Amino acid sequence: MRVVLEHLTKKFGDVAAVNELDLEMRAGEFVALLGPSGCGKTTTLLMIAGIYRPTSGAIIFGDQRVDHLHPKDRGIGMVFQSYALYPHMTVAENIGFPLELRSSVSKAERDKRVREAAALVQVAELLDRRPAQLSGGQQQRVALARALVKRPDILLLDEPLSNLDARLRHEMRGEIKRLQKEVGITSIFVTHDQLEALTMADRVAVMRDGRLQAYATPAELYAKPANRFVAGFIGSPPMNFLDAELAARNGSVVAKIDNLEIPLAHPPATTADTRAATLGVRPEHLAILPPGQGDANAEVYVVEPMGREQIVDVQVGPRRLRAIAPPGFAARIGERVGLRFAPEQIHLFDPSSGDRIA
Amino acid sequence: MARIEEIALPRERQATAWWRFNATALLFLGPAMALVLVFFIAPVVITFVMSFTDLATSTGLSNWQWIGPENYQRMFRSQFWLTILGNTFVYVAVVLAFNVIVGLGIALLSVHVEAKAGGLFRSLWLLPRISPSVVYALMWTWAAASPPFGMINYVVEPFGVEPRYWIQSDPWLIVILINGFVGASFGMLIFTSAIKAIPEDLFRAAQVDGASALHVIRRITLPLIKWPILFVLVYQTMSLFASYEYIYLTTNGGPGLYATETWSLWAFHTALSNYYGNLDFAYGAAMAAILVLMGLGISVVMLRLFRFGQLVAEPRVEV
Amino acid sequence: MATAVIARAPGRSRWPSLVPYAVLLLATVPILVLYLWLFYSSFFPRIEGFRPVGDFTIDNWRFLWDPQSVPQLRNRPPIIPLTINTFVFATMTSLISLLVSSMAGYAFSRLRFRGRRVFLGGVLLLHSFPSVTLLIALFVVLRFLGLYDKLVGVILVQTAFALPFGIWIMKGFFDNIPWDLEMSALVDGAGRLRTWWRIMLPLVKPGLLALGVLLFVEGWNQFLLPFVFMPSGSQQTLSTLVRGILGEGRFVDYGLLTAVGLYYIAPILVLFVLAQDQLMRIYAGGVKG
Repeated sequence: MRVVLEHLTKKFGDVAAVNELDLEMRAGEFVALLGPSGCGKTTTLLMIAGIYRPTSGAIIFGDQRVDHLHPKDRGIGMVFQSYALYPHMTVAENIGFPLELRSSVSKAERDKRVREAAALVQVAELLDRRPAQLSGGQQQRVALARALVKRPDILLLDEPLSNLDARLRHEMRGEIKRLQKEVGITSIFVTHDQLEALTMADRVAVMRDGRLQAYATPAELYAKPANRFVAGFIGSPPMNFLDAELAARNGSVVAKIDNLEIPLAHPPATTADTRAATLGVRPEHLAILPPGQGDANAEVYVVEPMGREQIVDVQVGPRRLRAIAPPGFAARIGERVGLRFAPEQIHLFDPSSGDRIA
Repeated sequence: MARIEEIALPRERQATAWWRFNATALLFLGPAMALVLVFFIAPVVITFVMSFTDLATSTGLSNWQWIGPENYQRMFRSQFWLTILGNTFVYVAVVLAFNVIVGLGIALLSVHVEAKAGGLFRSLWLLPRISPSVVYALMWTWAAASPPFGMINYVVEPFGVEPRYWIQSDPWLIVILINGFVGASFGMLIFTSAIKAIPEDLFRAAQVDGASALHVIRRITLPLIKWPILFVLVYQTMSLFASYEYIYLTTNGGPGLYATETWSLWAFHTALSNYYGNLDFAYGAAMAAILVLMGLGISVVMLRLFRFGQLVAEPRVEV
Repeated sequence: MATAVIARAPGRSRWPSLVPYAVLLLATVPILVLYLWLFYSSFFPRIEGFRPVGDFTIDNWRFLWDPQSVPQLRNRPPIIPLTINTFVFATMTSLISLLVSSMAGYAFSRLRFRGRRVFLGGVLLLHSFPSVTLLIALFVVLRFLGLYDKLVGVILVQTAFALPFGIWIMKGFFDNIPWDLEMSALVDGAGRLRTWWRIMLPLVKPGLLALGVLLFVEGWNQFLLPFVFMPSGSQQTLSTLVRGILGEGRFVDYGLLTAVGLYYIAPILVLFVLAQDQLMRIYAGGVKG
């Protein structure tokens, strides 16, 4: 079922936690709401769930407006950050609880569906346990089963992975993604972790201070971030930003940073004579070369080996940039190196508005 | 994309949602509201209304008349009202001091010693509070009894004190002891949990700085629990002004005329329990009305003082 | 916990650390003596000071099996019905209070409604308001409702008196339950009534038990309300019986009184031993703010 948010606004007192949010999710799509804490993503999710009432705007499921409906009448299932398993009920009772509330589902039917849901998330052997006896990952699965057992039209997940340890998080990431595709249910999940959003979602809505910053596929967000905030938020380690000035050189355009000149493969469409711009380049698009080569001379500040790669912080004049070097790269602190900016991969943003110029 | 206007909310459904919302609150609060209305709010109003009538056993519930402020005039014309007022203040002040000082002392000492022992002592001090008042009063009646029974006589005899019947000879001592031992546990428990809530690092830091135990109490513990202390002071003051159960069960206001009669006991005697058989409800209500006013006043002060606003966080579910 | 608060420094004399124990013990002696006497006295013909006179006897307890032989009890209702009255009174008040205050406490903790702040302020105000000042007017209210001299009337009054405290405590318990569970129940399709009954109440069960014990104790001990509002014999409770014997004015038979008193207080002492930690916590927590 498709979900549409129109001019959705939620104010707490005078503060707008969500401000004029417009968003459309297609049926069967997996959408992530991504942003730093306090950006309004959870508030948005709770409005979709019916826990919060919008101050203004509309929430539409399919063709029907639902913002006046009680959560139980919305056909949603939800997984909470804390999983919110009922501690006094067994796993089976937890999963069966949403069905227990429907007189149309008989006891036998309920048992059958509980077992099906448990099997779907692989907790069939845990049905008699209590939540306190489960590991974090198992609790997570039970919460998923409970959310899915009533066959909702929409699945909501609030920071579903944040309470898991790193290894389990990776495992569940794939698990949830696969499950979502298997069931084919429209799903919305909230996260502050850009990696989760990129790896799991079909489309990612990036929010900040209650406003939508970007809404695109992970690939687009990475390759063409809509503004400086999105560019800095997506990708790890984060993008390097430099204040630059654009100038024409021999028929093409270069970005001038102090005495450096970096050629641009994709200059902005409208070029005034000179204009200020924020230049962004991801660490993986900065190549470390022997001294004297490339666009700039730099000095190694610190090296952090990560196994598969190494993160190298280099000092260029007064600025510090982060680059990624292959594992074989060996350099000592203070060593001189050359630095090259991949011209195809340079992003330019307006210094005042932060909007992307090229 | 469908526009908002095209799928406007049906009016009556909007109304239903609002109505259901308040109906739920009414459902949950209804029983409590009914009980409070009948047995709390109504009596407060009736106390005031009744104090302007002549309702008594002699008039019955149907034959009473409005007599204006006569009950109040009668009260302040009484030759005993000043004595009783004085008694009340002495009673409140001395018992309050006993309660708070002993409560604080027990709290400080009991967190100082081993946890188990401290808990045991606190339990023992709670005993009077959870015992039936009549049994507790019985124990003090015995302790204060005349020779050869009373325990107090045996304790003070070596100090050269003549044996006596303490309830007759020193009624105030008994009134203060019986109320003091019961009321101390209130402060004790509140102070204990307040002291336990102080981050232990503060004490460790003070120890490292070489502070003595008394110094720590004076400079760290006491300043940090000043709000609980203030709270106990205000709360106990109010309960003491209204309380009379233990006095009633021991000295019953005596011996003689109004020796240990307090204001609330006076109201109780006048309206509900006296030897003359004519229960003067209205006159007693006038006496109670003064206590009710005082109770309301102090309650309001307490709400102000203890930052009521902090206690009412908004619910996080809006359905 | 600040137990080791001012722990003694190593090497210093151990004597000063015994001083607090000594002071505590000395201060607590009167309480100990009173309760020991209550126990002791019920098994001897008489006690003079601390010294029993006569031999160990269970004669003081014969009110249990041969009440007619006890002159002080001859014109009084038998003790078993009084015990049942007391038990009914304590049980009913605590059950009704639990139910009503857990409903209201839930509403104050979890529901949004108009006037919530005002109502909550009202509850707090009543909580600190000394309810004994209302007895005179309640006399009229009960007469008016036809509930005077009836157990039901006193039960309702005691329940109402316990409400502000109960509501406040219950609100505190519900406040401590994570909001996620509430939201989850709503999303799972439960209404508020079911959420309260099926999810919230089971989660505050320890608190309910503690509050229930406390309310039972207060009901069991209650003296003034039955004394004033149930004057006729058959409706009395143990407290009015003890008061009746104690207040007779003639020679006081401490042996009998302590036996009856011990009989009366025994259930409370048992409950206290079983639930003292919870009781202490609830006494301390219920009056904060």
